[in-house]
Amino acid sequence: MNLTNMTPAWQQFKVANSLNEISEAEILSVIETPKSTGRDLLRRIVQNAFAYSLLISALHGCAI
Amino acid sequence: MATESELKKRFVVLIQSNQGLIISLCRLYSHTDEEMKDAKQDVLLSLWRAFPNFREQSKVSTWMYRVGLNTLISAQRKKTSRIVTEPYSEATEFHPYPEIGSDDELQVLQSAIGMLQALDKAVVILHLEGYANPEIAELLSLTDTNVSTRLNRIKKQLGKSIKSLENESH
Repeated sequence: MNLTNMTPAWQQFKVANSLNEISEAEILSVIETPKSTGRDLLRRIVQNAFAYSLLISALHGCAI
Repeated sequence: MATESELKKRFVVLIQSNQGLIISLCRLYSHTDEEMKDAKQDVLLSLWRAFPNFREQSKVSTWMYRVGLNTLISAQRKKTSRIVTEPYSEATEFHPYPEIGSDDELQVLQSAIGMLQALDKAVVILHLEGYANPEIAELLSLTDTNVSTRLNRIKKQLGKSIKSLENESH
């Protein structure tokens, strides 16, 4: 199959998609509320590890 | 040195003047409304993070393809590895993303490319955009040989898909 035959359709596809406007508000809302970063993830891991160790020591106390 | 608000203004203008490219990429990597929304968010965020390092002398579209395609490919990889363990929920129900326009050729293009694997999609998109094999290899961190092997395989696969899609529509 010759892919060159598909080039006009690809260009048309891009033009058709340029009619769906990405609004300024949409762009700003995405870039101003970034998803959780690696640091957030690390903080959550530390918090969970701490809670887990507390739970384990409490359960260990109950068993004695 | 540009302030944060100046940078944002320039970024918004850049995105709006290239929205056809961004939406086309996201559409080809999405099957549902939800996936389309996520893809758009991921790409916009990656472009914004890469924006301070963007050198105006390089072509805007090349920069957008590089950042956008690599973002969509890694998002697809993460999704594929998550699917195995994710329980069924209403959120994962399939709501097909409407194909663009009524033009048969565009629908066939969207469906046929949509069936390819994430990396193959990127290779074919860049090829249709007129990039040479070494440039495609550089943009996607592949080797020249890998790109030409993939393109040969994609051509065969697309030929088959297009035939069956055309048969379905008749």
